[in-house]
Amino acid sequence: MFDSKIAYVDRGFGFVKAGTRPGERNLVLQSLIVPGRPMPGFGEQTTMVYRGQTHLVGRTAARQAGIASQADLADDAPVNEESRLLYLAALAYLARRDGITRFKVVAGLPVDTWEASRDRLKQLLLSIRGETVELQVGDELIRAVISVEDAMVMPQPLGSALDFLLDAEGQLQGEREFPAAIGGQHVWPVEAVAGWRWCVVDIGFNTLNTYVLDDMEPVRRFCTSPKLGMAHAYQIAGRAAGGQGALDVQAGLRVFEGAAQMEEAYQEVGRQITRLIRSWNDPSIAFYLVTGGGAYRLFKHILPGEGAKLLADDAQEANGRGYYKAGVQRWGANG
Amino acid sequence: MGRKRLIVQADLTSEEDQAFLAWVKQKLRRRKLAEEIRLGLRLQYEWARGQAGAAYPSAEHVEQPRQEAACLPEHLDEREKSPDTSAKLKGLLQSF
Repeated sequence: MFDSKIAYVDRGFGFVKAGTRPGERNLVLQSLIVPGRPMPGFGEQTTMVYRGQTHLVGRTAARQAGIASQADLADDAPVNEESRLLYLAALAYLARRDGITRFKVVAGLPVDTWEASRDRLKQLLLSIRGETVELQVGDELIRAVISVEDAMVMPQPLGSALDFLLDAEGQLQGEREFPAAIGGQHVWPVEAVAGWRWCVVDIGFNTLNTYVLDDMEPVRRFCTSPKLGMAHAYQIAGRAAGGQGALDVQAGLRVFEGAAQMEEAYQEVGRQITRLIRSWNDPSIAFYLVTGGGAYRLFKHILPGEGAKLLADDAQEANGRGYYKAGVQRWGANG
Repeated sequence: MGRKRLIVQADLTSEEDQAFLAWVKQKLRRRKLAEEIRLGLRLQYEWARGQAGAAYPSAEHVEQPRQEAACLPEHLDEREKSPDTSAKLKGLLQSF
């Protein structure tokens, strides 16, 4: 028995977001995986056994191994061995419990590494052929055999763009409502919007990704990945709090959140993002779609007072949803 | 769905999110559930816009005529349009 399905895996520096069709299983996993043994009696744990080696996964890795981040946010992080293990863990979670699952996978990379690393990531995904993975998530044991039959690797913010434009069948259908009037009206057919020049502002943990589409073609000079993600805000707040690192701030976010230095740090990063966008000086960009895990926190600080921006729905997962829709467009709903 | 997840994801210990949550609840009491999703983006936008200025967005705010914030950029009117945007989308996705 085997299943065939489309899966999206959005591996960010902070979290891996993965899922299949809307309404089915999905997961948000801290982007951490380290060799180690589970420790009974220390709460719910997520572990993975692969090729005889046990790994601690996600929050379990953070808690038990005492690490807050992997690979020091290295440039090759999206395509290194830890990444492959994270993809395996995510796909195992989405696989059927018995028998084989054949996936068609849509994944993404930051804009500035996409061109150089897309082929490596595609090969990494396609190297998953008949792999047996044992994943323990709390009380649930998943024994999965997984293969990746085909893969697409796109620039991450394009996921949010496609989620905004496409319907569940991956078609340019319907209408979109804008909070401020564009060209004298608030509601536009999606097909018209797709013909405009517009910008995705994708705020991740490590990087800000900007991606401008013009009539469904990327405008290269506006597709950038500066280190203006949430980690930058945490660095600023950490310095103001007496020299704490960005990851310490992230780990203690519940304490920092609401503190004056945290809000000032969000404001400062928002100002820097606004400066970057304004430096383009391109009035033909019709609107800005703000997305990614940092979107909720920074939205009000980006282009403050300007109406031509909107917040992506469920912004942390918008890239992944868009990947899935792209997969449906490419392979059909049943993969 | 999106709204519920937004609220669940919010860090409800922060003052801002508490205020946001209260504000959303107040808005939704006045509207039919069916309108909720359509309102989603606008609620989020208006909340952020209210936060950006000093004024807290009032419940009546949505009912008022909305501000004209942007003109249609020139190139949208003037340039030659692609005959089939769907075909361009397909082409873009094939390149991945």
